[in-house]
Amino acid sequence: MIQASATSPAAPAPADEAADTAARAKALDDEKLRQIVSLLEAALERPDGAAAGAMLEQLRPKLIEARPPRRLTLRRLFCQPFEDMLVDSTPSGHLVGRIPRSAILPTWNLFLERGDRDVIDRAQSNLADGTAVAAALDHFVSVIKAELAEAAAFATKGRSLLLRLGGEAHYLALEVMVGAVSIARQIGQLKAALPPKPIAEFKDNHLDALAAILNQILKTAPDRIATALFVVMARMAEPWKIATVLENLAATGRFRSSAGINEFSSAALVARLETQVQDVQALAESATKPAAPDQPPPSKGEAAAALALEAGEAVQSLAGTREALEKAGNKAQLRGLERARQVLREVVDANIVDGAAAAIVGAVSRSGPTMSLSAPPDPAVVRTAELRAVALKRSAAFADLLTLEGDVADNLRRATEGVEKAASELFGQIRRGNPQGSSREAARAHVMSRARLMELLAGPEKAEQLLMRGLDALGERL
Amino acid sequence: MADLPVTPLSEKDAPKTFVERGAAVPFTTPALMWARVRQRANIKELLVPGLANTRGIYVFEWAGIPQRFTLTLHDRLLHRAIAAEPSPTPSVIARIANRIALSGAAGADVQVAAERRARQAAELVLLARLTLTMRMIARMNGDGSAMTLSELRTEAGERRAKQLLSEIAGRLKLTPQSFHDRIEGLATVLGEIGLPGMPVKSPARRLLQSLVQITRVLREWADEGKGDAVVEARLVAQVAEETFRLSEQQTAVIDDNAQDIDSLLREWPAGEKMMVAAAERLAWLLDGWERLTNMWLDVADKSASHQSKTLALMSYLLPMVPVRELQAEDAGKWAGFSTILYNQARSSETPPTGLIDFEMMLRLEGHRAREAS
Repeated sequence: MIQASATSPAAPAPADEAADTAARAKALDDEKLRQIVSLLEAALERPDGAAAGAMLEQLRPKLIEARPPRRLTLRRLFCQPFEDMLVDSTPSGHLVGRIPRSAILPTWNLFLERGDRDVIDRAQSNLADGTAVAAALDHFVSVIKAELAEAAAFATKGRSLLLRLGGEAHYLALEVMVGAVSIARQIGQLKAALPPKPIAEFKDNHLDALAAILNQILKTAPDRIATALFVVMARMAEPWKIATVLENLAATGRFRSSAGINEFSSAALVARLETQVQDVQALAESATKPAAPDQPPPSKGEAAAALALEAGEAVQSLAGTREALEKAGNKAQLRGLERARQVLREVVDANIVDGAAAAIVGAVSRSGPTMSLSAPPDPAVVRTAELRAVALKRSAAFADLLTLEGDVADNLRRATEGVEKAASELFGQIRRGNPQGSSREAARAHVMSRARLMELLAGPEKAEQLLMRGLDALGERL
Repeated sequence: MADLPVTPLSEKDAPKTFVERGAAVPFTTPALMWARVRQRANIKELLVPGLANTRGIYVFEWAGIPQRFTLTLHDRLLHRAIAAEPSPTPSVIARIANRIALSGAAGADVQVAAERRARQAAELVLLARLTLTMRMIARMNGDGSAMTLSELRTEAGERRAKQLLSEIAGRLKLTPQSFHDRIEGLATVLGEIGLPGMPVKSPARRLLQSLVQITRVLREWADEGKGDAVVEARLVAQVAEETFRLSEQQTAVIDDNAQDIDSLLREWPAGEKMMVAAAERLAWLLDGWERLTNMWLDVADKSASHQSKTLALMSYLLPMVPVRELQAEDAGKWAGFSTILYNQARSSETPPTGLIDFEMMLRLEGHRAREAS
């Protein structure tokens, strides 16, 4: 007869509210997701829109997957000219082509407060009206320029504006935003004419279009050439090659930049690298903090594996920037570059390399026979060890640029030897104990977890050899 | 047997049936990420598209794979397990792959996902059984005897259901045992596919939902001219849409028959055969799409240029429905897709066969972990 009781078919209980939202979002069909996003985006524009923002953030994985149409707003249109320059962190010192994302809202609120409501409302009520939107953007430039002029003229005004915006980086960002918004039309043309980012190569027609737009800016707003170049660099796969692009334009007579342009682009490269290194540092720091007060911090392995990916990109940037600056950079920029390299080296060493072998071997021992063969290895411990091994292997790909190749190789060797030794001990224990039933299952899981670690550290050949030895100890064959 | 490169997209060489096309294998070795397995008489073959940047499909004897490719540990085990299987269909490959994943050979995340998948599969069979029970009671005893899912999970509810089902078995002129066996058989088939209204969606229905989504997203991508793979984006969207339409015909067969459950149980085993055939055809139609949708998800938040490269690769490796598996009225449309595909003379970026690309291996393992989430 029908078996209707036994286990409950209910889905596993989600660990927290965010995970619950993400799980619910996954099951949403397109139409429902569209409705929810539309409601949340409308709420986002209200003064109490922070909660809607948090919910949208929780929905982010689903939004990336399903790409529901996003609500166009005047604020979004205002951000378009400088969207390529936005960075998540808050840079210290000069911004050089960087705008902290956190500067958008205070700047926008300042504009809404000081700007002419009629001009803003006209654009907001009909975002398809290009003339009204262009007028609003021009109005933004004149309003913020006036604010900056007043702040420069009166120290108290300057301090009050700085406080209102939430810090020096946000204050400095105003200038960069004004620069980009004032040539919004040309930036739009640039984006349309160039290949999608990241641009790997400029073909002749792209160079023609780039030169035409740069020449146009040179005529109407020569002080904005650097801004246009920052946008171009932000869209390049290898921005350190901007000097080659400019040389090509000059050699073919298409566009002749001023001598100061190389200086600007070199400074932008160093700034970009600083941002990347800051991001790597921030990632390393976030690994020690829980995502929410009632949650444990992420595992060391998870943090190390993610950090190794981010650091790898930063090192690639470092190599390209160094090559460019050795040709065209000044001494201060080269010193900045070396500082960035040192910081990166310290972060990678402290969070990925140093102690990796001991952690991996320690995890193998904790999940291994010294505990008990009657229980399978602890999945959390195994996962952490695997991720530490992944991070170590990833760092091997860029260790030489950070002069860490010896440390990485040493940790890899010690980890491999440690796993091998722990496996031999395990196999001996299996032989002596001849486990049966569930203990046998558990022993098999221990064998496999060591083989997997060996694969990550030393490749599949060695892993298979280790697995065969383990199965042999169990009296089994594949 | 010699290794044979064949050109898959010409009329002459394209596979004519699903069995000839082979079943997708979830290898984690990058060079084999698009590989399929098929059985030809006594010989099992590995089909690998795009090797050495060619547009052909290379055919290798299954037994010789370890000599040809450097396999990951997971794939060494998968290769051995599939070798012993006489009929490598998508369902069989999925079952074997989950068993290997459960061993931990592809890492802790894939193992956890495999455990979740196994748990989910058992829950879906149970849910299908409960849903069928409710339907049967409601349909054959009228609204007055209708039961809810939560009621069915109580001891009293279960007793009442047993009594009602026993009456229904009598009305269908079946013994309680054969009635039970039929419900069990049906629930096993439906566990894989699911039924509309079940509180948990089956992997097959979730994949169908992904096909709808990828169709819309890629069509918009192409309409907006986001990258230089507009033709490929449109093609993947069209093939996804058509695959969805053909798949829906099969889910309709399953859903309609499950709705008319008394007739289905009365006309057993013909009813069972029909349901199994529809489920198998659905599995073949969807075979390969899991990896394709994962490929897109990998780049969904990346730049248009990354997306373009992935789309070119996706279009090249689309699971086309073989001609003998199509109705005459659909053949023209699919021939059109093949023509577009053949005209897109792009070289694929399939990884080399020598060393294992570590990051790509992790990415493919990530797909295996994502499938069950």
